[in-house]
Amino acid sequence: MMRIPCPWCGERAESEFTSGGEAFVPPDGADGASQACLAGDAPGPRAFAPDTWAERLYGRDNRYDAVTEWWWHAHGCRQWLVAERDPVSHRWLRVRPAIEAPGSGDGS
Amino acid sequence: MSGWRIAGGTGIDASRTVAFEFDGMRCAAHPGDTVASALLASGVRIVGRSFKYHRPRGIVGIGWEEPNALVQCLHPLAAPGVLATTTPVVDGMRLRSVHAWPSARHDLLAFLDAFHPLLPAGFYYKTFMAPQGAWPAYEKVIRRLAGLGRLPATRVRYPGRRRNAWFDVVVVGAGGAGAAAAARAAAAGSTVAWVDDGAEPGGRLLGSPHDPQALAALRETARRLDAMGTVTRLPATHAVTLADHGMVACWQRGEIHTWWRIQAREVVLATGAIERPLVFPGNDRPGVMLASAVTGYLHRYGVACGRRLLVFGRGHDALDCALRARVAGLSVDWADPTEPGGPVDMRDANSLADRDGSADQRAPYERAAQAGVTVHAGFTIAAVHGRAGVRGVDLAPLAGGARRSLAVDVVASAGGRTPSLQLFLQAGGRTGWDDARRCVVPREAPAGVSVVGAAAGDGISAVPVPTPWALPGIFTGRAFVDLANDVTAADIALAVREGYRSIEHVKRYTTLGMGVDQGRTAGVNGAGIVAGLLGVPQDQVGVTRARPPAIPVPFDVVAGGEAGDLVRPVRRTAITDWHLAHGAVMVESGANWRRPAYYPRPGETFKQALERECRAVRERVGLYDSTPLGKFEVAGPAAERLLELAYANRVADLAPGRGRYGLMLRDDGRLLDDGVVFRLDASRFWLTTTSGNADLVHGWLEQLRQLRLAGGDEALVTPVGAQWTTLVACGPSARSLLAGCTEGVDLSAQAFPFMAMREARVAGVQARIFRVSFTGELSFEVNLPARQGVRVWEALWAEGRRYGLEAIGSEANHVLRVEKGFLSLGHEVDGIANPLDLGLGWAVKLDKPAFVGRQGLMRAAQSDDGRPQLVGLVPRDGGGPFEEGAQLLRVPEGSDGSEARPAVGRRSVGFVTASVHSHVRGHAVALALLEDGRSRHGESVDVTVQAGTGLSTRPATVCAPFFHDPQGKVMRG
Repeated sequence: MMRIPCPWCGERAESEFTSGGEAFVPPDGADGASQACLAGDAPGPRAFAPDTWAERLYGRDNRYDAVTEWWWHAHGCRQWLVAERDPVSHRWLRVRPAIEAPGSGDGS
Repeated sequence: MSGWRIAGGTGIDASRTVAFEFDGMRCAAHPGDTVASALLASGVRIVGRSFKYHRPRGIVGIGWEEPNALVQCLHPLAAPGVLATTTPVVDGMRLRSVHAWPSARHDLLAFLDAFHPLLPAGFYYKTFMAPQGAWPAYEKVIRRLAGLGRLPATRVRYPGRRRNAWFDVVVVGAGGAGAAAAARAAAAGSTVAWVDDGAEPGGRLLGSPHDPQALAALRETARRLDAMGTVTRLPATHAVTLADHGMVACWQRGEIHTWWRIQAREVVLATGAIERPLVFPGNDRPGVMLASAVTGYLHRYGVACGRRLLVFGRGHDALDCALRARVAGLSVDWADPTEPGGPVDMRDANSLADRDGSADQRAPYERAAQAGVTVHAGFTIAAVHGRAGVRGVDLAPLAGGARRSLAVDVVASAGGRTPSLQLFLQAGGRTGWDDARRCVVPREAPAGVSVVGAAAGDGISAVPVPTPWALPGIFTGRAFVDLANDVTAADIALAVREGYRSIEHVKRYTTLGMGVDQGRTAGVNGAGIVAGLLGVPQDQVGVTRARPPAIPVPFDVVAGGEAGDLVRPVRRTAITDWHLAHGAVMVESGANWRRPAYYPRPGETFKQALERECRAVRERVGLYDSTPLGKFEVAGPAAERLLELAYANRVADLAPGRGRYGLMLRDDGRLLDDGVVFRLDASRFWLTTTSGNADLVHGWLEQLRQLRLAGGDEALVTPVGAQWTTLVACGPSARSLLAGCTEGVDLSAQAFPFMAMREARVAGVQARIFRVSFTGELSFEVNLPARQGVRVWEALWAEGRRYGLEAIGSEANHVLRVEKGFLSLGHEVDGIANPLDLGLGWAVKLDKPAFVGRQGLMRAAQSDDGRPQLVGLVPRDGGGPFEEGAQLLRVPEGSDGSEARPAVGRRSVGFVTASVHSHVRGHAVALALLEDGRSRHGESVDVTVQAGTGLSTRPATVCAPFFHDPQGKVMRG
């Protein structure tokens, strides 16, 4: 049961969240997604042109070191978060709100 | 009778007496006694029978390490598998032994022990092979023979509740090290949870006469910490699971059991060390106990386990036991199976320290001799006499020579201590073998976990005990390593002979350590024997992985009171009570809603009620409760952009008060949900979705808004499903019905067209009325503030009498929508079909710049052949409806498609998504997904049907996917 540092609510139990999986650039309506996927030090989702439609849709990096993920604080503030996490040690490196509203917390 | 009560038990109240019953025998006890101490005091030697051989077994330990003393509790709580050594006696308790009939003393299956050469470890892998057909018969017998205890006939409830808590530090264990760790953490300002499975703090000190000052100091520390607000002490609480990220799950016993889930930054394990028994022939006889247990019973409970004691072993525990027993007046012998210079290790490996018999080694013998103990240095037990309990032993000198016989009735076995590391191992900690101290020690702790005290090996002195398992005769005589599962040293040797080298394999082959005690007294001894037989250092053999829970926990406790209706709380609408009062049969539909399926009148069958409700809607008017529908309001300057992204349909060109059917797709172009979207004003929209999908769509819209829409912070999505009660009046007379109850709006077709929204007062309540139709009839969806729903429903119901109004349920709805060819989630919308397959190309605007699923849909349209398409089916044989989910098979060439054919060996080209009897048409109709279905109207196809245990087929004709009012004239009128 991880503790996830929500920038709005503070540290909350993992059970309050829903995982949105590894960040990726979706095929349609991507203008917001490209912004949301940039999280700083962690490498962003692949920018290459995948060979097949299936790869474009479902392919993920699945790295050992820091991954950029989307998490939804479903049972809390209902905000989507973009997080960098070390999947081996489960350490949360950086968490920020996906939506960059004026005055939104940085979360680091 | 061998056991009896002495004065001076520190943990009992000798002035009061309680009574209980065991196997029909009445026994007396004092408050503070455990069942085990009371049984011993009453002279009960045999408390059960062993698992495989039905050998008589007695009490061995004093706590959770006990392998034998499982009893069945009949009263007050009917429960199997209660451990006698940890269960306090309650007045009027009734207990039974397990695995024995009619009683533990006289068991009919005791003869099985005579067959023990045929029943070694793993015998069942080599037997019961033929005839194979006889296995069910074998299994019946084996099931009756195996198993410990009986489940009570009626459901037993452990009253329980759950608590979740966060602490900075969790300290497990309230012995000396635990108290120090808790005090340290509290002094550093952390919030501390101090968990201990004893009713009072003290740990090992409670059972030891050794150090009364330490116990007093510990009690003082506990008092001091109790007064601090930051320390939460949890007595009678057993930590059973240690999971990732400092999650500790604990069972707190009491009148109400509490299941704690504690999240901590740091976990300190002060779980102590368990004494290990020695392995020697006949070591399972009732009366052979752990030395620390004998001492503990004397000191804490004032119970002497026998009159003539033999202490067998070496170390502090052995000496303490001998001295305390002398104080109590027992006659004590002490056999020490080590001899300076003598052969002590079966591997003949490294020499032991102090072989020259230095003064240090002699000191314990002198103290014992002074107290009146007869010391036999260098002797081991060659045989134990007495089947129903120890009567005597034969001692044999390790260096060879004449045997000695002693008449004893208790043997206290002292093999040294080993850290208790279940939680440590559960969390993935790595251990190693400390050869000098002959115990397992923690080597590598997982992050955030630390081990202190005896659990870390502190205080376990390097005493040159021989490998306690290396005594002579253990492979030829019957020397038990695991008492719980009847595993002998010979069984382990058998496993090694058969080629099992890893301790995990040996465990599984022999079932060593797989009993209820989880091998607490058996695991290390077993690993040592394996190491000796393989000739490798014990460090290499290792220990088996421990898995949660550390002790058996009833499911009721884990559920924490969430049982029955509380497991999945059911959602009700404001009208639910009315439905129930009018005889509705309720069903659970998506997202935990309980909805009326149909309303049978007294004496009506399901079919009759269904026909009545469907006819009412098609011919007159029906009323149904559509509150579970997912409803959202989307508002803000960016609302329109968000909905343009979410829907495949166009939204921007909707005028205020107008709406349209909308499809939401996934990224791969497949259908996620269908519903309607209405514009309320310039920057406000109203959405409805399938009731089962409401929560999913909420998450989806939030994801789109926050992750995919630039400037998504300028839109707001609010789920309003529970805020509005939604009633639908549908049928030719719906308009007239509503007109009688509504004011403030013109309901005529010209003023209030299809797919429009009006606000009005219905039965005096301000409402939003939408002209949408799921049934295909003229239909008005009335949305009211939730709590006003019943009032309006009842007003419509009263008004509806003159129109022949019927309440209709989800079953009637299903028939009506199938007749119209409308989609339903879970039937046609199965996660595979895309809008083009379902004939909804008109609702998809591919020329929109971007919407979710656009690219996926375009690819599918261009590249995929033979996609399943929505069609209608009508049976050709005049029979009833097809089965939903039945497969469609092509009719072979040259056949006219009118007879039944076998189904085997033919390829499926589709399946039936929905199938009903249509009252409007008078025969069965169905919707199906069929490959290239749209080009196959008029063709024949076979539909599978269950025939006995196999499949047959029925002939059907493919047609367009609607059976009533294809132009939709009625609903648009």
